[in-house]
Amino acid sequence: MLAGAAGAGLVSRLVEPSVAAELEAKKKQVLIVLLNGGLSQFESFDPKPKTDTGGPFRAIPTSVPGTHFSELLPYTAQQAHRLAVVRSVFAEEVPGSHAAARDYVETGRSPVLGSYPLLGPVYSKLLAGKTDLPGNIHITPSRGGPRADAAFLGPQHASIALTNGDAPRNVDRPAMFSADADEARYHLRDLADLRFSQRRRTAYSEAYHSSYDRAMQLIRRKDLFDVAQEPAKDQDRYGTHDFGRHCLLARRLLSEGVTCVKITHSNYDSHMENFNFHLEQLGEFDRPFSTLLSDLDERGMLANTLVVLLTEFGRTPKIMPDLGRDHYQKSWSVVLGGCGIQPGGVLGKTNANGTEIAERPVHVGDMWHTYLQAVGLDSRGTHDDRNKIPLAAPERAPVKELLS
Amino acid sequence: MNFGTDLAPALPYPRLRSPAMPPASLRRCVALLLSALAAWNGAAQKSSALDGPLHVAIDRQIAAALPKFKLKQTAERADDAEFLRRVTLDLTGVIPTADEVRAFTADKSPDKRTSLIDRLLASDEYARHLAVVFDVMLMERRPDEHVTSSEWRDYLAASFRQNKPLDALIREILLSDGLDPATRPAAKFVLDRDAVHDTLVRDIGRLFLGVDLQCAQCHDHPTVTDYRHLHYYGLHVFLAGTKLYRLPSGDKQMGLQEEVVREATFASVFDPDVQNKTGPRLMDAPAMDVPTFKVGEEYVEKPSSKTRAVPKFSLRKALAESLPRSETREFSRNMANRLWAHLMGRGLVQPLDMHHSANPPSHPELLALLADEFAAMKFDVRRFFREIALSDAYQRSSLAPPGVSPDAMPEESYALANFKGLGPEPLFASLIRATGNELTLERQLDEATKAATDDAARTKARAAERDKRVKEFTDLFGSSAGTPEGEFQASLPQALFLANAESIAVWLAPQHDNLTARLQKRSQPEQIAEEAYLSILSRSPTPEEVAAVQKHLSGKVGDVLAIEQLVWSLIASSEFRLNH
Repeated sequence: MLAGAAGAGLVSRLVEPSVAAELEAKKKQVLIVLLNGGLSQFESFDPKPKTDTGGPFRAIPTSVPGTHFSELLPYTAQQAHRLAVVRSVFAEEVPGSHAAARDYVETGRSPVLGSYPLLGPVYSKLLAGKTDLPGNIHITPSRGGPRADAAFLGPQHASIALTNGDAPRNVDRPAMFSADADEARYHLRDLADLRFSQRRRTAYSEAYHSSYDRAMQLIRRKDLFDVAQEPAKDQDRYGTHDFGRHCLLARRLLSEGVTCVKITHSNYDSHMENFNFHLEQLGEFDRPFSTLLSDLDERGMLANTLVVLLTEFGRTPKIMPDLGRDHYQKSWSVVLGGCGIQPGGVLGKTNANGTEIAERPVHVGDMWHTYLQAVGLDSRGTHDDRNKIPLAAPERAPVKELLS
Repeated sequence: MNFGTDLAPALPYPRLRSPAMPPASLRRCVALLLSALAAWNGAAQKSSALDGPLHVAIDRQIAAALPKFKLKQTAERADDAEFLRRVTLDLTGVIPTADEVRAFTADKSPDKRTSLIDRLLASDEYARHLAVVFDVMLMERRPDEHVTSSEWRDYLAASFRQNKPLDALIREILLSDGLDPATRPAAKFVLDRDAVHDTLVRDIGRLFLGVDLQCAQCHDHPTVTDYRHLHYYGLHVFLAGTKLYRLPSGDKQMGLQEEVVREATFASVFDPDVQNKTGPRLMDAPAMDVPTFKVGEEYVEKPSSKTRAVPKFSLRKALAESLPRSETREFSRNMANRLWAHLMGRGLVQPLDMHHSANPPSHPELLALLADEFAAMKFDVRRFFREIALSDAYQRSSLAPPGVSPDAMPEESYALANFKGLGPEPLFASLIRATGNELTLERQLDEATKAATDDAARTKARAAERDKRVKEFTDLFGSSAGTPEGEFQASLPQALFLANAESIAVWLAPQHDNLTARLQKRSQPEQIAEEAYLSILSRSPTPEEVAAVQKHLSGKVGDVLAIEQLVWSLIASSEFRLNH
């Protein structure tokens, strides 16, 4: 049992081989890109040129006739046919600014309601495929403490952080253990567990054993995190700056079968110099993101990979002194693509100068339902293991127009 | 007023009817009522209804329920080593030393288990461990805000050292406004939640009443019909006036103040046009009558930007007086269930914060009995733990009887000992003890704090240094902030840490007279096996295990790598990771 569990995925252990194959074939994956700090909708997906709020940038045509993005996104504009843009996302204001607003967007629940799991852990739990790879990897730009993002789902589903795209912590063996010596100590450990498990309940020891198994697999597969092993040509296409490397790393991880990969791109919090800020940040974002999107499509992965482009809130229509824009939760844009999403459209509308939603307001809680539905999960369901908590806010609903 | 004792569960707090009365006399009147109530409480406190010890009654109930689980037998009594490890971990948060295992297993006295339980309960380690257990239970790993963890844990440890009744402890926690330095640590519960009302309502509901009203904040609970929007807001009113107050001391220290709020208005998000109202209430009890004052005369100290608001009648005080006591059935039931779960590995109601009719206890009569008896012993935690620990149910082996599949013995039957994962703090302390590094750690702390100028500074610095090392464990093995420690889970980062981290490797390397160093000096594999197993797994190895060690060490006696592999394999084993 212990040895047999090593290589086999969870799916294949629990169901018939033929069914398992089918499930594996349909395995859904998710790419989340978080534009941290609050992307300006005006400088991206909902431009308002030549208005009092629109700022200096032009709107440019996209690959979808009639749809325009800001000129800061020339490459992403050519991907518009693969994307669905929602221009009328809103949330109630929450105390605590960025972190709380991010929680609102990533949990679909107002943070005043307490801790709920973020998207990654939920996908990790509900879409878990192969157990030998982490279900939820977060590529973060800078060093931060471990982010416990799984709430009541527990540490098993918390994200594995790749700080600045580096391999996870503790993936290197201690100096004293060579590969062979390592094998020997795991073998001894397994023997101890085998003896302990006789005539005892095995659920905990199996879970514990499997965590070492996965650790061992990961130690062997450290190359998974080594973006330098991607072809030089691709490294050029994505660019050598951090976000480019991180997007290429995301492609590598998704191609290897990791269920949910999240990339955080910082920082869009432009209380001053909004326009220069966005020129610089989106200049970094635009090409790698669009390259990743088209690569996923060309590799046939986009049909099974949901792409979610998030930010915690939009920015004010009013341009402040020092050319900044402040936080705005009355309306902003969210972009989706890939698995389960009706591409090529724009949903919702803001008024002429972007101060109000004019058509089809979509609450962040509705979006959260949609993120689950898009990958075939019933967002009306409940978490199974504790307190029957609804997966998504029960008073909210999936956005049907976005779903294919 | 009707304070009939049998009505107590329906009337869990005083109904104070005091229409327009001069404030001074009213204050006196309230004080009188509360003291009368306290006296009545004493009288109403039922003494035990049992004719024998509680632990015997526990076993009677567990045995009576066996047919319900289709069981004819239970596991055998745990052997001495298994029992010693379990009870030492549960009551003091660390595994026993190898010497303690040797002494206990060699002890021939018939009442040695009872003596051990009493000795552990009387130890300082018990008080300090319970401080950790209650810190984790009540603060759920929230980062420090206004009161430091060390002040709070010192306060909790002092409380458990003097065996403060649990109702009194919770009363202090709800009551403290953070002004008096002596009781300020108790205010951490409210202060470190920034006195945010919704957070307080949820956590007081879950932790003190055993009801998770989170999903009843915006509407009646969608799947638990017992949990209603009204319950949420009834509890909310008690806290709605409580706010942070910056103390004038000038160091930005916060205390609590209270404005006068007497009712809540709420509407379901599904039915936003229907406005509902409630006064302060605890679950299904009727709303509490509170004294009314003329407008402008509600305060001892009116709210202003300069002063701390102090109402003539404090609803938070009313909550502190009415919630933690035997008449609030939800309270005694919840606390009895939580303490039971601490020792027995699972609550009679599980999850611990989901007491409701569609989630009945595994043993309804036993839970009722435990709640009654815990109240009858005046919420004496030591006495309560002692009774549970004396029960056969607690002292059973985790090894299923020969021929019976452990999977046929459900956890909620308590016919087989349940596993508990070691929490981060016990895991750290046990790892240090198992690898024989307690002295090494002391030396490290000495070294890191040698710059300290006086004893007080040194004590503080040493605690901080130790905390720094424990923090690696709490970050990885603890629950995330604001969520309860759930069932045992094993994550990939945990395994990578235990397998590869420098901070684990350092304890495995031979130094001073730690375990690896001692084993390295021994020449007989049998002795090495004996010492390693006693130190790490708190038992002697079986002949089969001795043989495995012999095989592993053949030709490698004295080889540090082989010793480290052996030590690590036992540290990383399920048997070490679990309290079994």
